[in-house]
Amino acid sequence: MNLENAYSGRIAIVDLDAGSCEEEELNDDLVQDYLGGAGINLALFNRYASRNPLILGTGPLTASFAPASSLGVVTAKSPLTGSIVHVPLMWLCAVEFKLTGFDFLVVLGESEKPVQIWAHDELIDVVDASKQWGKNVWEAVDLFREEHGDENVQAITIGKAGERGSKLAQFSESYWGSSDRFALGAVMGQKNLKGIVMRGMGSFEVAGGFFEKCMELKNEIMKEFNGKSGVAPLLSSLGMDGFAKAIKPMIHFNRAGFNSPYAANSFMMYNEDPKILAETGVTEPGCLITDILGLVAFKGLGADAVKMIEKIQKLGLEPTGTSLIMGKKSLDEALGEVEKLAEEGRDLTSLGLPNFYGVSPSPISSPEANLIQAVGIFSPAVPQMPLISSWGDFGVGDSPVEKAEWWIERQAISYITGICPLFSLISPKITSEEVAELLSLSLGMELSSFDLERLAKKVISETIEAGKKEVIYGFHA
Amino acid sequence: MNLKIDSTKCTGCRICEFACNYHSGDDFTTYSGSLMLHRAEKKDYYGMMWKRKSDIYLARPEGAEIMEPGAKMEGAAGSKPITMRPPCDLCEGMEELYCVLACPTGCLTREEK
Ligand code: SF4
Ligand code: SF4
Repeated sequence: MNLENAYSGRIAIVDLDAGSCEEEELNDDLVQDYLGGAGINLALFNRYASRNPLILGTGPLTASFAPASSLGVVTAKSPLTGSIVHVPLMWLCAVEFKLTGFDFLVVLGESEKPVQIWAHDELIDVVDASKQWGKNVWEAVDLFREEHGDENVQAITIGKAGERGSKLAQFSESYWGSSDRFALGAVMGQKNLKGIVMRGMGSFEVAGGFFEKCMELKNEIMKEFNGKSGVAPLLSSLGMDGFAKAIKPMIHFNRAGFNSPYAANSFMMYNEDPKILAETGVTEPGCLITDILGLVAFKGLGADAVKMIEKIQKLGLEPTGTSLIMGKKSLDEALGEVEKLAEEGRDLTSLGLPNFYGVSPSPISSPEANLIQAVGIFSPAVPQMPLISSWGDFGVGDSPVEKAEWWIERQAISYITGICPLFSLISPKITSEEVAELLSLSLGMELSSFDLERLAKKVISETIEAGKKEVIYGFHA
Repeated sequence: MNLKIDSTKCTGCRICEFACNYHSGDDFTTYSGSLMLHRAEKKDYYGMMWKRKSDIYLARPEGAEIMEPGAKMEGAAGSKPITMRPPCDLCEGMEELYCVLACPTGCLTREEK
């Protein structure tokens, strides 16, 4: 196996109880058995299960020429559901981490004092974070960048909600929130871990023909979009043309996660003219919308929803649960109230609000979305339906069971291999056959779509098993 | 033949930086390519720095600027400054410009002249 095309071959083990960092080799056997991402994360989780591990992992295609190779995965036990859950990173953190020279990070135990884990240049350290503790997410990211003297530093960090261990806490991928619906931000808070901070300038080898194959696939994919870009077409494909129209005038530019052919994020400017091209003098002109369902959760506020999202990003709160608690409050009322929410740690169960083991239901309800949430191992921040494309484009039948099984398996393949799981719902051209072909080329081993699908099923059932949740995957069974 | 940059089309996906390195070094890294994406994330201000044989071309969304040799021009601290990088050779010996091949948005295009 040509591991060097896919991995640096290093797992960092950080013990916060002892304040120590060790390094372990990523061996061929682990990759043979679980390939990477959520698969290897799970194996590492099980190995250290008694130490409340939080695992950050990357896939064999993460940080590569493969289209939308932005994926990282954070795996831990959810304080909300008690299950073992996988949360995807889809912006820039995973790539930055992988280029530090580590493929996986295992964080064990709890620190006595606020700390950050600082990964760079094949080195990893536990460093004081008292300067960042108590700061909101945006301030903390600024301070991390200032401390390490580099604007391109990326950080998985928490705000007030995470520090207080709130059940509504979410970790954030640098400034812009994340897909964490499982309160893993509170797990970081418990650990006194303000941030996992990284700057990567490493390199990987590239298998012959891999670049060309990736470019071919990217060109095929681009034909699907017809110039579409940003969150507005995503909202339209969720049936929300009106909402898309309301927020469109605020869009400055659409931004892509690493190497994504589709820019699924939009920067909303409301403190500056969104038509500005030159660098604004306004320090905080707006925010980047990265969580489409989080935005939808505040649809009732119309275009003001984006201002609410900014506040939530800063506090490190999870938007769908927050919106359920806020109910029909006006923007001003809600802005005042969320501060308290981050401090108090109220949760949906204690408030008698609808939830799946504490996790808020998808703002776009459907029988398949409910089934997916009942299984509860992959983030429901990724919409439970195809985006821009249709079910038919993916060859999925009409029954909710079929749709839910398709979604879970498609997410699993993305989470294991390194492809952005949101993008895998946008582009039917990212088939398991294509992904298997890319992996075979890169790793120099024979891998079929059948192998990938079998591995996906194994990781799904073993994740459920590890969380001992009484849900049986395979709805047909 | 030349490279044309329209930064208003850039989504910040970064793959051009890696494609340029791959052209010159055969590996996947950003360390020594002739293109460097400048990102002021909080202000949503993204521009492309392009090291050419005799100058540095700053493709800003509001218009291009050319920095002469010797000008103080850094990338983000911690990464190799653009001034220290090898100049673009327009992918000499290749049929295609690698950065153009990789760019999904048409921000980078090949200009025949
Ligand atoms: S044309 Fe070739 S050498 Fe020049 S910037 Fe693009 S990839 Fe690099
Ligand atoms: S590849 Fe194109 S869109 Fe992506 S960062 Fe480079 S210039 Fe921008």
